[in-house]
Amino acid sequence: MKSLLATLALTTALTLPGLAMARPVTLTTTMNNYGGDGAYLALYVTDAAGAYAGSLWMAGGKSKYYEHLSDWYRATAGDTAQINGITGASVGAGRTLEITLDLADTLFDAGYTLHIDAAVEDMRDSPNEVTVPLTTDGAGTPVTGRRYVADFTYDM
Amino acid sequence: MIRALHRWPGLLAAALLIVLTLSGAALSVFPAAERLTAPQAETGLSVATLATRIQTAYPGVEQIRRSPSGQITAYWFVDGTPGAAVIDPATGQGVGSADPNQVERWLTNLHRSLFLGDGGRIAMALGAAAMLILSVSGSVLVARRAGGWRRWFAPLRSPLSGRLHVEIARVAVLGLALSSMTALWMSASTFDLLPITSSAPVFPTEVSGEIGVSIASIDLLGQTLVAELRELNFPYPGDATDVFTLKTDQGTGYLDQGTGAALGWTDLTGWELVLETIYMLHTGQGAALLGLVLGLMALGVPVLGVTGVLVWLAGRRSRPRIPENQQAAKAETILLVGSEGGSTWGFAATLHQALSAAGQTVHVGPMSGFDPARHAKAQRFVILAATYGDGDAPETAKGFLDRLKALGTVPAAPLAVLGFGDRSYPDYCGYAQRVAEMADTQGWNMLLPFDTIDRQSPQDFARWGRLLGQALGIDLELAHQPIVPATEMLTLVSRRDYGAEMQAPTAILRFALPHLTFWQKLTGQGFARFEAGDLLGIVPEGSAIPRLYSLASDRRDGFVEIVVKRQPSGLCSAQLTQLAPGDTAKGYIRRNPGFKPGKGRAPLILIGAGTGIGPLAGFIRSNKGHRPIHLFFGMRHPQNDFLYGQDLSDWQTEGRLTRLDTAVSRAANPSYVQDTLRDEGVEVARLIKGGARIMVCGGRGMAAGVTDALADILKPLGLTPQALRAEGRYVEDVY
Amino acid sequence: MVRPDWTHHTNGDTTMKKTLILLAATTALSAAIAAPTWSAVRTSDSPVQLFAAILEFGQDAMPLILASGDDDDDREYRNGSRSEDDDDDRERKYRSGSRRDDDDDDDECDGDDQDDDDCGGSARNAAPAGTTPPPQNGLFGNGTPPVVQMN
Repeated sequence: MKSLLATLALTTALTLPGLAMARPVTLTTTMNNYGGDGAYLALYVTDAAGAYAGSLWMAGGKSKYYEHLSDWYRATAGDTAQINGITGASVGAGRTLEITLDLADTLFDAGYTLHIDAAVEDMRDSPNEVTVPLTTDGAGTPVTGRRYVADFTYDM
Repeated sequence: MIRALHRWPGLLAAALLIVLTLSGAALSVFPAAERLTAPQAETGLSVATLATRIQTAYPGVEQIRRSPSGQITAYWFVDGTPGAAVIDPATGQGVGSADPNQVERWLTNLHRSLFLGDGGRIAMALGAAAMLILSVSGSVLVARRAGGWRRWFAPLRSPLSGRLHVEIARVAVLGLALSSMTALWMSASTFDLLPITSSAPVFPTEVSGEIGVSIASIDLLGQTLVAELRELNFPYPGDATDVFTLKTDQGTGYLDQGTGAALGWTDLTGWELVLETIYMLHTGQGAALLGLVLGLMALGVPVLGVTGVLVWLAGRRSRPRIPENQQAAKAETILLVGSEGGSTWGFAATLHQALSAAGQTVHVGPMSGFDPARHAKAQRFVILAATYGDGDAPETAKGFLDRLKALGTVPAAPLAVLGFGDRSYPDYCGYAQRVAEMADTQGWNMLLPFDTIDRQSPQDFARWGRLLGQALGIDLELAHQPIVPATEMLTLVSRRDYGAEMQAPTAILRFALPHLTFWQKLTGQGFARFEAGDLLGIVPEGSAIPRLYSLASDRRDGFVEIVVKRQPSGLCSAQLTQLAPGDTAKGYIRRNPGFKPGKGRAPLILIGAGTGIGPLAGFIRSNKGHRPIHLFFGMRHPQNDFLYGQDLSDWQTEGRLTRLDTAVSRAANPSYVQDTLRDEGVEVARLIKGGARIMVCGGRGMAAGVTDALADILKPLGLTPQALRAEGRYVEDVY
Repeated sequence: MVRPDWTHHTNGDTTMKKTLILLAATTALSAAIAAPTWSAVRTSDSPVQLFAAILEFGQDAMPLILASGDDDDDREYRNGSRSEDDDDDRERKYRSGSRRDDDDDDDECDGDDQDDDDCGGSARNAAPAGTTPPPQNGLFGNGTPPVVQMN
């Protein structure tokens, strides 16, 4: 019994910090009425040096279209393992996509930048559609995209 | 089996396929339109030149795309504002908006997925699969009906209720099969069922680090023609690690933005090439003309769907149910039916009813279900067998002959075989004959000698019924009532009477053309389109059974004319010959494509007697081309029944009739038309050698005599009437 | 002149019963093939899984359209937002449960083996959110799974 309690205390001690080191963040993307089909969006993060750090979300399920999200594709070579479990539907013109993710605290105020690459069938490819540094101050401030995204916000 | 494979996918998927093909046909217009409106690059234009022109006009250019139809689009940024335009390659300037056509997008989403996402895509893919099954099964059915694959475009001999269906199908099926197969491949690709591997080369990790190379100086761009270009992506401004990306018909490659050197290249994989070809074959992008052709063929599908449903409905209506059908094991009379079109079932139903009314227990079943073991109490077997195509077994008789051959001992109960056929086809009642012969060889006792019914004649059926009744020792009256088609009201305009002094008055009756609806005129049904040689079916008052008469006029002549002889006990002929101008009769048109003079200028030898002159006169009347026509006409008495006497002489003057030879049977020297034929044997032989076509119309006896006479005339030529018949140069309309 | 009359052959079919049986059989067969195929196509990330799903029809791995609501607790609930053209997506909850697919991840494509062409990772679709935990790239915590809403 004692060893069981000890194990329980130990695992709790180990996991609690893990729980405390992340928080739910809501990413809201509103598309303009660009007059085309559903847009594919890749949300990913680069570190302070500009190197690819990981993907946060892929809106759009058919991998053969991912090459149009050229910056993301360049960084990952289209590796779908990078977006396993964080894929959803593409976003139609004028629609809003709201994703709530449990993100590590270390992501903020550490020089990380969030990028969104966007592409629409038969319309322009827009790598680097949105670029926004991840800071606690910047939360809630909308940012406009280059072509397709009307505004993007992250809330904590 | 094939029929079921065609009917059920067709009925179930008709609505879906109509949406699919209409949207597809509409979409097929866009590639062609784009091809025509997009400013095309001059031949030999290199990508380097084009890119330089565009960059001069739009310094912030990011991407240049070329669509399969040749349209060049450029995307650029100016002070953070995105811009896009269709480019004129000659100048590099924008000439139009690059936004996708909203109508085309809407149609594409409808066509791909009914706006329903993945579930919709699957539904459309199933539709394409159904279309493929329909195309294949339909082709087999057409080949069967036409009598073989080589006769695919042969004119259909029998008047089909689904004629429009078959005519459209024959033309469109190839395109539909191609479109459905390419659609299935594309669906498989969308759902990742194909082993497509990506051909993107690995992004170069080492670049020169320089920027600002002049496009015109990049070798690869200078060597690549615009005709092969798909996409050219410019490096991100300010990012020295970025590169140019060039995509062509051959593959993809990267170019250094400082030196212009090629940094990597991969060719398109085989699978990708295949997919792209299939995409082109389906959408017409890059093959605009093919796209238009496929779109036109797709337009046939709604008509095919509707006519297909109508054919199915008509078929269901025409097949009667057999109430109180006894079980196979208990019945004393076993009635086996070999039917293709369902009409023989109708006769079986009539026989079943009459026998049951006479106290018999009768079981009706298909010939394919024949199994002597099942019929323990059978006292007699009756087989009603139609023939299909060129003497083949009809649908419900498949396997019967094999089973019969394999029988160890034939049943003790005797058999009667009745064949149903059409004398105008070769191998009349061929299948039924084979059945009778096989049964005989096997030692099966025959209840009645083998008999045939020509063109579903209820009179013949009734006659046979009496013979059957005698053999069974019962009173059997078979009153078969075929389905009566829709009739029009015909008003008599004029009549010319002959033979009044004799017991057989004959009249040439001329009716006005009935009023037709727009739809009837459009589809060419019924009275909208008829010719001499076709048949007019008259439904007399007080009877459901129509009588057929050969037409003596074309629609173009402006009237409906027939020659009617009053039969002593004929209900219909009595009513018709009593009509006064202004009276009406009910009639419909039955096409008779087998008895037509045909196009061309080959001479015609027309042989007829009595009322048989009707259609022949029609042919002469419409002989505007003055092809040589030689008429042999047999009558009884020139004073009384020289039908069309004055007309024939007028036509001769006009040149429509070359020569007339008559035979008079009630004269001092009686002669029949076959005698006159023999007299003119040399002339006839000469005409036949010159390619003449012989058409005979009249009674059975006359026709037999004519055949004999012709056999003699043709012998020195080394020909026989049978040979001419096989060639189609000897046709009969005999009754 | 009177001639024997005749009605033309129509394109009718044989016994109604035979065709009805054929129809029922083909419908049942197509449904039997289509149902697991559809489920597999929507969720699987490898052709191997697809065929395995069809062959192992009888097992409880794939929820078929025949499933009753009572069994939902024991099975995966597919995230419907995977279809990219569907503008009417609604939120679907993520539920945990044992899932055969978990064992079939592309092991040979894990992590850094990007140069392996046989990997084919780019040719196969990723797992939608809710079916598998997010990738371990250091950006995600271990807390609640992703929640999506499309308006």
